[in-house]
Amino acid sequence: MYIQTLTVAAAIGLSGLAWIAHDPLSAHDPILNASSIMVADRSATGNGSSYTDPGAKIIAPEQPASREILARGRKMFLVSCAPCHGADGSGSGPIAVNLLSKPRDLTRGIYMNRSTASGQLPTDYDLYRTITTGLHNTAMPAFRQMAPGDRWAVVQYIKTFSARFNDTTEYPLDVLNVGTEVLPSPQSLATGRNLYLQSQCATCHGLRGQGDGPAAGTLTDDFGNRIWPTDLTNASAFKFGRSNLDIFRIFSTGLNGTPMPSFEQTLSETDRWHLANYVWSLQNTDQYVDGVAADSLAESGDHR
Amino acid sequence: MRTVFVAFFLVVTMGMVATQAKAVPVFARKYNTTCFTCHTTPPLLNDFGLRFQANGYQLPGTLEKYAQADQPNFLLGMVAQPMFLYSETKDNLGVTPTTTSTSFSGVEVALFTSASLGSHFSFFTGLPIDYFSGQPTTINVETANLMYTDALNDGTGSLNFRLGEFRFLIPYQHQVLLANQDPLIYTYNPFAGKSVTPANTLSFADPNFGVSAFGMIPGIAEGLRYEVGFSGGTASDIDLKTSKAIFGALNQTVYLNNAPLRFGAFYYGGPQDIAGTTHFPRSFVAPRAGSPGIIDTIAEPDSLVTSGWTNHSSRVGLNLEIVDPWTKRFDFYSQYLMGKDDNIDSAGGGYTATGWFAGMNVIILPEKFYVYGRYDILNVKETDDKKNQIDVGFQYHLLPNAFVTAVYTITNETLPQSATLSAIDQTTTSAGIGIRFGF
Repeated sequence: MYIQTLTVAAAIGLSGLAWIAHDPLSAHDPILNASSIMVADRSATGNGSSYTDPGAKIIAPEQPASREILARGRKMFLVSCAPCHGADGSGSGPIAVNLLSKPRDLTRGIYMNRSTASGQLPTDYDLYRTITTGLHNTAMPAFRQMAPGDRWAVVQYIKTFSARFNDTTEYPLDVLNVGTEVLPSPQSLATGRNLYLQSQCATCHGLRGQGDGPAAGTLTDDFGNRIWPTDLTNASAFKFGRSNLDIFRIFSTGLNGTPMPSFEQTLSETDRWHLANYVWSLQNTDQYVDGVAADSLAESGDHR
Repeated sequence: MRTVFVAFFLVVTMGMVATQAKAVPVFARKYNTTCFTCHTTPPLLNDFGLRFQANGYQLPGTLEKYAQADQPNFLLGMVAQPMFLYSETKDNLGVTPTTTSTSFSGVEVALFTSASLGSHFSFFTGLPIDYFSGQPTTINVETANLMYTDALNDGTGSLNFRLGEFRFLIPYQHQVLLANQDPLIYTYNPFAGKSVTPANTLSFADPNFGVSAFGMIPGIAEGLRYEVGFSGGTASDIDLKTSKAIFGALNQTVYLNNAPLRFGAFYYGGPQDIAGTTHFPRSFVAPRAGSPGIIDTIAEPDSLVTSGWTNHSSRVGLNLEIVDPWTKRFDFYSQYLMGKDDNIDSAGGGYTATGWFAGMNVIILPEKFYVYGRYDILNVKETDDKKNQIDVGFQYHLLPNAFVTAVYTITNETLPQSATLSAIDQTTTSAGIGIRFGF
């Protein structure tokens, strides 16, 4: 009988316990927490815009996060991130050795998933986005149900692993301006196909984008880990999002720490959109089959 | 060719049953990630998987207040495992007929479903469907529990509750499952061979019904994993009236060069009703001393007949696990466990069993190839039974969610020597190979 009593008492007490327990840095007021950091970031840009604004420049390191935020970030990092990235952020956590796609070494400050120019640091929002959405088809899950305030705190804590974030010579950060989107069309895809071949994309990704180019078996990242070019025909293989905007971003920023370069200096903004449209079409296999455009297939009556 | 064929059959399974396969691919789909986020190789949980489990089957550091927008609509996972089995039993004196068997189980399937029901609430259910050649197909609800997670609202899952049928968070359950045979001490049953059916069994090998508090407290050193609660064993009344046993497990982790070192202790004990049963002696066959051609059936000196009593059962254990801090590919683990039953015959007669096992899991190729081995021993003091077991095996991933698994097991049991009989060593060799799919 006493067990039933205990169970009922525990059930009644749970909601009260949840209500009473209050951590000012927890999910209770995530908007407030996130907003306070956003304000700090706006001031860091020096021109009233935020780093989420296209074309913005972040001219200096942010003000250090408060001790409370860093403590909160450390706590969440040890719970959620340390198994892969290690408590020291070195990327050699207890499970890292078993993963083919190795966890990031956070002490180097080198990040692939950015909205900034090639070689530059990521913005806070880039880090926040990676934590939130995860990296598809890897062991990095989407922590979108971690409280937003906690995610921002983790961002601030992650930045403490690398001195680059406080190095004034790393600034300003040039946030990508996506310009005017070129909508996919048969003409855009055809142009993109030509750019794909001219830009030597096939060397790694293969003629048909299947990640089987002649250099595919030889690639390593800056950390010495073996890596493989993305199979562009497999929608599940796009780690950083598979929309044409996501792909355009990668063409513009490159993937720091990997052989994937930025084409910002070598291709015009419009050409990068054409290329992005073509690569986007590869995952939707009806757009291009062995170099034949969709409209050509339609004209020939080949609807297979 | 025949040798190769036989060897193929000989490469392990036996206990490789789907009811032990706990990898839940539905989680990989729900969180848009791979099996290896939580598993070294299924069902072996890694550090992240242990935290995921301790957070009520939610990502560590998160509290799911709402269903994820892109979570699969079909929240049902499945593990299917067709397999071949080979088994042979014989003894050193040849007094019992050597028995061999081979079998093929068509498809063993375990269905899982788990989801968040809203802020703080989630559930987990497992329904194994077992089909063995020549045996009736069975379907049962093996695991079903409701969880209240992150009661302290601190985002770390340091305090959760669960109610229902579940496996305790004792150390190494996942490694035990990788070896495909439960440790001898987990399956030790003092009533084996006797026509006694306890009203419930306090088991580490199977899910138990009860209520518990569990979680992981990262603030204590580098992670204290715990579970405490009440249970009625494997056959409790759902209203918890028979949940009079208590259990608790503490497991502390510290890291050496980011490699985990874990140590801890656990306890499970309470009354075990043996109501409405009759107690008969067990018997075994053995050669007559001096006349090896004559086989006797020997009964243990036990003739009590009674209609009901209570046994007090207790199990207490210590555990240690270390991953090598250099390569992080070698995972050594060991556990010592003592079991005591104070009244198995209604007359105050008790058994004391001690068991110990040690094993190793090795990552040969990340996300691809793993080998494992375990040595296991059990002694029962009063009956002088001695049993030991060796498991070795491998898992090779064809895909992240599909792998070949094979195990080879040797079990040796020394039956007691009496005034007139020689001791007998009975050896069972089992082997099997199968393929496991997770969806």
